[in-house]
Amino acid sequence: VVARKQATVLAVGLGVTITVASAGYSQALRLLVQSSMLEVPYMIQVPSPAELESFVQGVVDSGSYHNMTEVVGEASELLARREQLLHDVTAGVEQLDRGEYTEYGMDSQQAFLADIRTEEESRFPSKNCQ
Amino acid sequence: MRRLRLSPLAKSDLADIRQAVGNPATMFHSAELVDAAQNVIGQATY
Repeated sequence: VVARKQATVLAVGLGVTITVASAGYSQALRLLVQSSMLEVPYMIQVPSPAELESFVQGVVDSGSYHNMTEVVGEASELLARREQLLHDVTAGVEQLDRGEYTEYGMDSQQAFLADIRTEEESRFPSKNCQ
Repeated sequence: MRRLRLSPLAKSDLADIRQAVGNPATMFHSAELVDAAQNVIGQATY
């Protein structure tokens, strides 16, 4: 039933798109999940405005991807990277806020370069750091 | 005079970038370098 319908609801488990169902079958899919007939850790409902679906279909039509699932998968990976970037930047900013930083100025450029080189040598001890 | 405050994480990212640039045999993936650069820029523009 699910496979016959257009994409408006995505069931996503462990970061992998499980299936695509129409809006009319989202409730049935949710019931399947809730009744453990279909084991999905969590479910995300994605409203599918026409322009979004048109865009995704256009990407498929361009030949870069085989189908809409591949496009959504790529989009999910990009979003995951962006979320990771936000997490990493936040962690660095929190270090700054805690006063965990080294300060450099125009008068300490050599110290800056030396510190980066030292950090590089500690991170890559087997490499030839010049 | 402008000063640069470098967090330990940003310093690591810069070290990774330096390693990748200075060592052609590095195993860094280009996407990882982009992420490292974005981390530094992200902190700088916060």
